[in-house]
Amino acid sequence: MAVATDTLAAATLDAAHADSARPVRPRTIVHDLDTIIRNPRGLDTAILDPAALPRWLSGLIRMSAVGLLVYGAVVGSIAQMAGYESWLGGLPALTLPLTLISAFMLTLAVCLPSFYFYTQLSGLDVPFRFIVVQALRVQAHTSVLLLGVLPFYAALALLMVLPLNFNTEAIVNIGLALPFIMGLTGIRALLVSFKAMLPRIEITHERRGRFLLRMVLAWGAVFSVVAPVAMYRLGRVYAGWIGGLG
Amino acid sequence: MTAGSTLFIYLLLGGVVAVAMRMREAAGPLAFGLWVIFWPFYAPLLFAPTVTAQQDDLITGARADLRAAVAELPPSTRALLADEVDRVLALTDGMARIAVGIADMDAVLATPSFDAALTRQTLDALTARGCEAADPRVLSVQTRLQNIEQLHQLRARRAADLERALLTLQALTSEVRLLACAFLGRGEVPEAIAQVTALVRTLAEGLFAPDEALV
Repeated sequence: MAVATDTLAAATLDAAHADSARPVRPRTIVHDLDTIIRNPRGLDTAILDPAALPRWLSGLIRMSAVGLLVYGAVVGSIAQMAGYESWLGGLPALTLPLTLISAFMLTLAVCLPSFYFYTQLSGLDVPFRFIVVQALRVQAHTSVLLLGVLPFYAALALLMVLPLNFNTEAIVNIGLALPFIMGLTGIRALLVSFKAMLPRIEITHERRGRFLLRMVLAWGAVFSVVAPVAMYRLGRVYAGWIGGLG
Repeated sequence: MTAGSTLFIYLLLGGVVAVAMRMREAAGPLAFGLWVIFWPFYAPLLFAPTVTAQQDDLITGARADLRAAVAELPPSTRALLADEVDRVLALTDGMARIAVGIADMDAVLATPSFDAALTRQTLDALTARGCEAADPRVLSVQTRLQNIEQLHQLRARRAADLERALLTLQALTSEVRLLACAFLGRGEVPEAIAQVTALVRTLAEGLFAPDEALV
């Protein structure tokens, strides 16, 4: 009887789940991380739904924040162990996570009007809140990949303990550059997402050529200019505050 | 301006946005904290249309009932229905979207240009002034009246869809409660599961018409 029940349930469930792009709901942070990587089309469908949008907004913010905090804490700890003296002050294990999360999230916030402007210029008529979610999606995607690349970076950092005359400063600088390098994959995810959603987005005026590619590159360019400046300025502020506390 | 005062103003604005968000939807302290800290991302949501409190309560209540019914199921049956329940919960987001659409239509119908009585008065005034039926002014007002009527019909249809979906959801919940009862014979379990699946399909078909635009 149990086998019959299983067969019936499997058959009915298979039929019911034929469409792979059905909307997904945000649940636990692990489920959301999984969705970002493995079911981007389901996320596309979900974020077009105004009712599901606020919950996904919170889910994407949580993912972005957790990824940046963990990555920042590890790279900061390595920098501190290596005695890295810089604009991050004497306690980079504390200042770097704070710097990364605030710099990247504030840069996104500051750039949102520009993102909206570039999207409208591309002829896509989407609401501002849609731009917000897409921007956060890129950051969440980058954060998930940063968590994925962290073991490799930690292995690289472990080389510092070997007597091989490795340039410790270079290893820490690689750690600071990785969020930007990983951000390129986020930009690619954004391009794929816009391409997939194009049939469901209202187009105000037709553009020729690779207008979507140009649009996402414009998004990436403005972010890449603002984020390093924000990192440097905020890093110095946090270093001052934490140094003052010490 | 120092970094400290900038942070103070940022958090002050965050508090304002969080209070405004709290007036729109219920949330715990964690969500409230997220609203305060990451307010630039939530501020655009304040300009998005909301569902009315009554519709929201009905949908939230139906969702909570289903969750409670599922919690009462034996673990083996719950595992069998896990994906179906997830699908239904996702469909309730679709119901909330319909409610948002109805709220949007209500907002449009509340504007003076969609006031049927006012439009009829304008038509009567034109007729009283001796304008004929073929007069472009009369035709314009009549077109407006037709649009108003169409929007009223569309609203009534969507409201009926929402009501039907809510009733289907309640039927689904009762079916799940039936599955939770110990007196159900073993041979009846597959039949009950098939009934639940059929109801999920009915719910999905009622909510998502093929021509429905998402944006």
